[in-house]
Amino acid sequence: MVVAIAAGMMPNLTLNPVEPIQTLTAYIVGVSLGDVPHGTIEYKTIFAAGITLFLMTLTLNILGFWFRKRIREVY
Amino acid sequence: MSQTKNLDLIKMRKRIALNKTLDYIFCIIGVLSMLIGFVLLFSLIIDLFIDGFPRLGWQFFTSYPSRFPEKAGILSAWVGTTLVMIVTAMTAIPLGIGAGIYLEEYGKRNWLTNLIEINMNNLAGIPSIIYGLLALGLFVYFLKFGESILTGGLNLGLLILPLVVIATRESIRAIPNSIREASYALGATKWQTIKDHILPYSSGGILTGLIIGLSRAIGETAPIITVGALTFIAFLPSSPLTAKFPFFSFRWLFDPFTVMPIQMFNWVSRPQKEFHLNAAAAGVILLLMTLIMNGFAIYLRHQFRKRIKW
Repeated sequence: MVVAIAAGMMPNLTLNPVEPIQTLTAYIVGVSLGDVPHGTIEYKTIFAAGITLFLMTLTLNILGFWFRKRIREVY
Repeated sequence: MSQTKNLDLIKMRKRIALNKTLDYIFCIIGVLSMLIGFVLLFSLIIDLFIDGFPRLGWQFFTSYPSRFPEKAGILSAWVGTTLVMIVTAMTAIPLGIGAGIYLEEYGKRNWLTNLIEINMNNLAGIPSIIYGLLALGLFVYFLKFGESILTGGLNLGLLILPLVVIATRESIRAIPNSIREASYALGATKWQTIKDHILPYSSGGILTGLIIGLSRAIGETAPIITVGALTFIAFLPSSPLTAKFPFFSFRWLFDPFTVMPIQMFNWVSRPQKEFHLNAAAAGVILLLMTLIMNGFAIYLRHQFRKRIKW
């Protein structure tokens, strides 16, 4: 998370690698640094961002699991 | 005839020489890649020490954060870190080792264990902020633990749980099957085998995994921020020891807290240069804490390896 701060903390839709951007993680941290009351739209938004992040890693991990299963040698 | 043979020999020698040069070049590339990582990390650490060392002193450990950089210290941060780590260890150790033993020794291999394994690897790899959200929804609002040491500790405990489970499973898997079979052949039950053979033989690996997990937890910021650890805490949690009977209390579990990485994060995000020096000093302390934990892990592994011979 702290590493992601180096990316700039600026929401910006660009493909240019030298422009500041914001990662999902940094967004969640940025929102929850302020007060997030239970049930508000901000509260729901960070959970939506979280589940997006979760699904992304889940996809990568399923791919990895499948790949490892194919490659692993069985003695 | 001998002419062609000589030619073949020369060709062969040339090819061997070429392969040897390639071997040498690859070795140089390997050394360079290693050096880049190592030198970068090392210079970062040296920089941290040079910046932070002058601020280190008794006063730095015994004062609360303050508006004045030269008066500010990390008392509430290191106490908070210690207490949170105690809760983390208390949750992650029994749950992680128990789950690892079940999956390796009792559980059968079927689609369910496959599913659990995918999940476990996924959980070990997901960004820590998601654990923070889980803790925010579950511990803070649903179970109503509030923004307390208990919430922070349970949160970090969950975070390192998959790491502990994986380390436990790996070190149990390394034990030869003949040991189990010998134990069963003498009439031991499964639990007796685990208690007297599996656990003692794998404890080196398990302990190493535990300590590596704990040293990851000690540096996490994101999940603690979402739980709402305050950055400016100028008081200590209530003491676990009390003057009256029964001489200990668990009030501290429900007190607000701050931890070292959050204190550093807070100092780094201020504009004044002096606060950055404070952050560097806190970084040195955090680094030393992790270094001591990792050193301890290596020492334990060495000790356990020495005792086991098969």
